[in-house]
Amino acid sequence: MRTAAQPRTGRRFAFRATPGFWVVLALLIMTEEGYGLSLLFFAAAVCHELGHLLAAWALGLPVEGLTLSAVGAELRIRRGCSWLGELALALAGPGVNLLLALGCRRLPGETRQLFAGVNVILACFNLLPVPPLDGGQAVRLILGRLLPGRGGWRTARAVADLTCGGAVGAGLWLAWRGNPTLLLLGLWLTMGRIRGK
Amino acid sequence: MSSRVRRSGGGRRVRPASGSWAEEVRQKDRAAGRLLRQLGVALAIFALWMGLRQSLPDQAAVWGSALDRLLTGTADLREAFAQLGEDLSQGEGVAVAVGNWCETVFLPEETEETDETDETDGTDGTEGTGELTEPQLENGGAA
Repeated sequence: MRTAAQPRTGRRFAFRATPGFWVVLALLIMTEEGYGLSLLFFAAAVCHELGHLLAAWALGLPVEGLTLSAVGAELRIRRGCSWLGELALALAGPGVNLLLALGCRRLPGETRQLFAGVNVILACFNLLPVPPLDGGQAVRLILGRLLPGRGGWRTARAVADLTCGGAVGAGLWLAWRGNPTLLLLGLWLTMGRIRGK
Repeated sequence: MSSRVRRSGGGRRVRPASGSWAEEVRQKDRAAGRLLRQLGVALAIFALWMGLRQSLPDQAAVWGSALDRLLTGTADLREAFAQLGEDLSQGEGVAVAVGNWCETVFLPEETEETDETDETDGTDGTEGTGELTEPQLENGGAA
């Protein structure tokens, strides 16, 4: 018989934040006056993860934990559903962001319009075809379905490598001309790609 | 606590079953301790930064703007997002609005250079086109 002192067996939600997450958050706060944009980004990211969570619950998949790292937030969900279910799970997060953006864009007020903009960019970023982003997962699932054998996985990997390489290459050129933003984004994507392979 | 390894018939090592309750509690405590330490470090860095802004505001402003330039180049992120939101609220297509945002954020700021070749009228010592400008026509020819 389980007593109150014993932990529950079965589902345990594990939350973890890496040191890289705190560094990125600190940089975001330090580079912005008033912390408004950082808070909006955080709110949009929370809504994004809630979208994945809702999809997992709808599909009856247990959620094992949440990890916050320098490359973003990652929900650990125990897999075990159909191909279509996996695709819905991957696209749920960006879908929520796009819905929020569409909902907020017509509302008056600078903060609401700012929130709409943040949600659109977060959705577009997460739809990039680079793992472990949602777009990378979706591309891997779709190509795995369309192409036989390991062809789908290899093609998805090539698409991810092209995207990262293109971002870093264009970023180097733009950095040389005076704007390193795309280079930093490309390096961040590459770091996530290496960790997520 | 001793760890037991069960071996299957083929001699392969099999991971043992999950540890005892005490071990699980220790693992949870370690994870909680790690999270608290990270929070402590983050708060310490934040407090240091806020203290720096109070005691050395000029130096903090210089470092802050240098970091800002390093991370965002010449773009004002807040303004870029505000413009994106405004474009969306005015019915602009998502692709067009996002394209404009990317142009603002990723492209380097163009320095405006005055193009002097179209503005020469012969009065500044350079060779002009020979055509009279409107003020010259009004004044009855070149001065």
